Parts: sequence; C-alpha cells; structure tokens
Amino acid sequence: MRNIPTDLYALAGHIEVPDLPLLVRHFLEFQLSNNTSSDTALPPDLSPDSPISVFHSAIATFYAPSDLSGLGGMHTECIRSTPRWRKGQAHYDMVFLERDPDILGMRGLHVGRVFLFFSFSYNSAKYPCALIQWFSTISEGPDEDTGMWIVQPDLDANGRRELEVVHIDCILRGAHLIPVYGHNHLPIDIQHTNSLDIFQAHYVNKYIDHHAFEIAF
Amino acid sequence: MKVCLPAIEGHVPSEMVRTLSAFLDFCYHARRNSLNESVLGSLEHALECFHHHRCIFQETGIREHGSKGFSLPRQHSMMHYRHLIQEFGAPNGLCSSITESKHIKAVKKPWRRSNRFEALGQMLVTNQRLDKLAAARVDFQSRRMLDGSVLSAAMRDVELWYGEHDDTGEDSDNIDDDEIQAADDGPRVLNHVRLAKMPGILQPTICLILSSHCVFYSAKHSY
Repeated sequence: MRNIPTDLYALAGHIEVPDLPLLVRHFLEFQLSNNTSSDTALPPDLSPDSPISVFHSAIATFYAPSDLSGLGGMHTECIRSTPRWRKGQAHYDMVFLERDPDILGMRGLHVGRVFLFFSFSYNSAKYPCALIQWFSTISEGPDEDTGMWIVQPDLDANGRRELEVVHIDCILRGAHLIPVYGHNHLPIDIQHTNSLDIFQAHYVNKYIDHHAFEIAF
Repeated sequence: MKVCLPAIEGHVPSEMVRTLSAFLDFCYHARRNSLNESVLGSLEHALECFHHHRCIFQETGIREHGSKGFSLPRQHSMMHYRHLIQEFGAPNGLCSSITESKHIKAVKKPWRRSNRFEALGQMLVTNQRLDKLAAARVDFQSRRMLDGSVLSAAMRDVELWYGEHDDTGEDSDNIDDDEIQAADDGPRVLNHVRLAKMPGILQPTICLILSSHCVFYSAKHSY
C-alpha cells in the first residue's frame, strides 16, 4: 500500500496536476532569486535531491492574545489537506496567506485552499511548501450588510483551478469560509465536504474567533 | 450568531443583518485584550451603527415604538463601555452580568472554603475578613508600605549600610519594573507553520480531481 510517488513527475501524474513540475520550478526560481546566489540557473530537467515527501496536515502556531485559552494566548491549529479524511471524503482546508505584513486587515492577506503539503530538498536546502489554489476578493471592500469580505476561487480561461506552489512560511493560519447561499433553494446533494467546490462565492468569516476578527477585517 | 449571519442574509431585511453585524463588531472590539484610541473609535462607530440599524425592529413591529422599545439593560450598558474602558482598562472578556460574577466571589468561593458545617456563618465571617484584608491593603498602600518586594527592601537596607543613601533604592525598583515590562512585551514571531511529523500515504485509488472542471452552483447573488 505504501507506493507513494516520490518522484516529482510521478506525483504530478498521481494527483492529476500535470503542471506540478512547472509550478515547482517557478517556486524554486522565486526562492533562489531571493537568495544571494541569484545567478544559479535551473537546469531544464529539474529533479530534487531527495524523494518528495507528501504530508496530510500541518500545524499552525500563532499568538492571539484576545483569545485566552492556551498559555498566554498561544494557539495551535491543524491545517488538513488529505484526499481521504477518516476514510471518507477529501478534506482540503482554507488558509490565510500573508500578502503584505505592513497592511492591516484583509488587504494585506490572501485566502487560499491547500491541495497538497509536500517537502523536498534542492541543493541541500529543504523546502517545505504547499500547493495553493488562490481565492480573490470580488470587490475593494467588505460586503456592506454582513461586514465580511467575499472571495471567489481563481479559475483560468478553461475553468480550471489556478494553482501555485508557495513556501509554507507564507501561511498564516486556517481560515473559515461560508458560502454565499443566494436566494434559491439549494440542491440536496450539497454536503459539508463539497460546499467549497460547489458555491461560486464565499464569505471570509471574520466572526469565527477573536483572532480572525483582528486580522481579517 | 457567528455562522448564521450569512445564512439569514437575503431572507430578512438587510437592516437586520447590519444590526447583527454591528453588534458582533462591538462585542469583538470590546473583547480585545488591549484597546487603543482607534479601536475605541471603531467601538463607538459599531455602537452608532447598531443604534441606527436596530430601528428596523421597531418599524417591522417586533419591538414596541417609543421609549419602551429598546429598554433592555444589556443593550443600554453598551453605551457606557467606552468611558469605562478609558477609566478602568480593557474588560478582557468580563461577563456583563456583574451580579453573576459577584456571586462567585461572594458565595461560591467562601462556600468552598468552609467545611460545610453551618456554612452560612463561616461564609459571612470569611467575607468579613476578606473585606478587612482588602481595606488594610489599601491603607498600607497609601502609607507606601507595600512598595517593592522583600528582596528590594533588603537590597535597600544593604545599600544604606554601605552608605549609598541616595535614591538608588527607588531606582532599583524602577529597573525591576522595566525588566518586567520588557519580559512581557508581546509576540516575537507573528506565527509559525510546520508540516506534520510523518509523511502521509497516498492511496493510489484516490486521486485529487484537480484538473477536472469545477461545476459551480449558480447562486444568482446580486453583487
């Protein structure tokens, strides 16, 4: 049962994302351009040093002083990204990602959905990263009635999800999204497991806890 | 309330949604552990919005018109938050039903201290003694008998012994305070994410259907 694809191309075929090697390549180019050795050109046939490890969850630790439940407001939270949650349906969590730490509120944040946590080594440096689908805000401000921002999943011209590989340090914490239900009756086959795939737009729920209220206004 | 706000959106007048949204804003602002002037401004703004939008409950006949409409103690107490926070600091999640919290101090804790035999008399004596202790503490503080710790008092004596009788004793107290301040200065790192310890197993039969087209349910929401 333990036939985990550890090769980049095999993994790309396994999760049906043929662009994965290209995305990893973009990611590495971006990471290396930030370092001092900016002149290192990537070889055309990119292969990491070590086998790729795939993870089904990650732990976010953050400081939320208004929510005193841990030691002085420290919180940990599990972000899951697993194709079978407890032998059932897939479970891909939403996360907040940092866009600009100087801007407060949702304007300094991205919202994304984690489809894969994986890590690999390249040039003896370890890169823990995540495959993210972006969600973008539909307007310049929050919804006037509810006070929450509305986001939509980013799709390309063919209606496919736009994916990107980001470093795990960009991830802030988990996010809570509620669908914009609309005024019609909902089809009966909508479950809690697939509502993120089905609805067109979602509220970013800032009222879910005090920390979310302080970062996602 | 925090998850049903989007659910009622569109099914009740939008003024009602705004009322609840403003109320939640107020609650979450008041719950913060530190409040600066801008947060107090937002608190005030949320309260104004709440008062403005809640009139819909009178217009639709849910509450009575006139002065009896919103004569509710909790909603009235919201008006005093700003002033009282400025006077006494952040409420830090204090329950607004003050009699309940007094009940814990005045009844539950003394009862736990008693040996349960004729508890009422013991509780009254406990409360009396606690009140006297609190009064004595205020008195001692006004006489500056409780400044610093035993250690700082000993340090001051030692310094006096060596003839350094300037204001060094008070200085050392101030340094102590500064160090405490520095040690409790809030977060060093904003957040930290790490992967799980063990890599997972990908079942070959289950694939992520990432590349397939997403079928969206058209919510027909008018934004």
